[in-house]
Amino acid sequence: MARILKYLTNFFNVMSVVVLAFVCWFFLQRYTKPGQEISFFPKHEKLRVGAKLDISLNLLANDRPTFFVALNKGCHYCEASAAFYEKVSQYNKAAKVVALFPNTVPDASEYLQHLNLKTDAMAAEDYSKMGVRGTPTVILADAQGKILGVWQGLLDHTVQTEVLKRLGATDTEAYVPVFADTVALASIANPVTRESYTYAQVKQMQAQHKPFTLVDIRERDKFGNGHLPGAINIPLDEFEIRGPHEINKDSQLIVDCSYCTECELRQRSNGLPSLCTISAQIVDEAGFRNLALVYDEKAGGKPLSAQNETGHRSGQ
Amino acid sequence: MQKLKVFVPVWLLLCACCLYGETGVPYTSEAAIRDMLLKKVNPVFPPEALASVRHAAVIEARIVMNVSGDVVDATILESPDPSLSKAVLQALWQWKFRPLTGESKDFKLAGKLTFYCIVDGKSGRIVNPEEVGIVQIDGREPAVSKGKGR
Repeated sequence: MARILKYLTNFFNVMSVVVLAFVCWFFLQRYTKPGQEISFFPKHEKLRVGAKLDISLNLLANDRPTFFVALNKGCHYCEASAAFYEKVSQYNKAAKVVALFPNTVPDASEYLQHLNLKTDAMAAEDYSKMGVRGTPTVILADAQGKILGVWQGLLDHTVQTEVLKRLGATDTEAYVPVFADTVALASIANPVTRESYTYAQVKQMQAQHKPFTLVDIRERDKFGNGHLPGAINIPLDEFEIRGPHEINKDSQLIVDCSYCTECELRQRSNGLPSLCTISAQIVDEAGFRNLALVYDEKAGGKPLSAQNETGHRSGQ
Repeated sequence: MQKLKVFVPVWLLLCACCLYGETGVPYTSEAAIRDMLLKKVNPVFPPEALASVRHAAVIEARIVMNVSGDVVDATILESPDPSLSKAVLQALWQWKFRPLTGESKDFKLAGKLTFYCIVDGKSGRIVNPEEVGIVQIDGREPAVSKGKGR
């Protein structure tokens, strides 16, 4: 009997450790930032430096590296990268430039012309087979198909400089000014967000009784922790249904999505759209044309374009 | 001490199972959820809610359905009055959705559902968004804020 009890005690001790480990793992999984998920069985990343690129061999150049640009029609970040691609096209002697599209894209050549990207070849590829998780993705591979570099999303000026240098550009040629980031960002936001306001400006507009509707599209708990006076809370995933019933489409709509330039840059460097980009698209699709974003100037937010900056100054 | 050694892991395991059960439920949009609707029971407006709603209010619910299309969980995310929450939950438990094909037996799907509570004089009704136009929600007058400053 004593032996059985001893075994049982040992068993439960082991169980305690296992369960505690599981609970720790669970909390780590749940409360770590997106993109930092911890897994005991990490997935093998297909697109990594040193790996072999899963692509048709005839697309690879024999005498120089090949620079693959994975694009998709309707991808905002691809369009925002047009200036960078135009620059890349000039280095086709150092590397063969190949544009890739998913099989489903018609009129891909027209789209390339629209982006002003002159390529040596164009091909339709299965992105999931290649390991491309989002567009744009640029891949530099050697003649044997070994990956020399992978860059995903809309690249900031430092990464663009790095890529151009890898293609043989000199320091002067590879220089990309810092304002290129703002220009690219504005090109994404411009179709749906022509204006942006600071919190102070919104409060001033309220004091002047200017007619507008202020919508906070963050989740309820974040809204409860603090929001602009007069803001109504319609979480983003509810906007499609609730927006048209609760807001007049003709009114000026100001959306608080915690806009900040750093958040935008961080998200697009991961190849992901930010909350503000998604909300601007959803609000636009719901039929609201008179849209502006509100940002916190103290948190590092910046106006979306130089034109808006002028507007803010004159408005103050 | 021996009993404690037994209870601690069992308690932890139960907690872990409860927490794990909450996650991993795929979420879909309200439009998609409503497209899958087979049987809809409209919530009945409780007269006691007249004290809480002046003109109109929004009630937001979250439901979880199983592969058979039955509601297995329903919670209220936003409501002006507990009696309205109760009425909406009572109706939602009777909703039936199109069964999900090609999924495992344990698969569940979550989604949010919006209702509007409209008060007209001394009577009220709880309606689905497609049944109303523009709704003037109570407390949405300009420059009204009860929340903390930012």
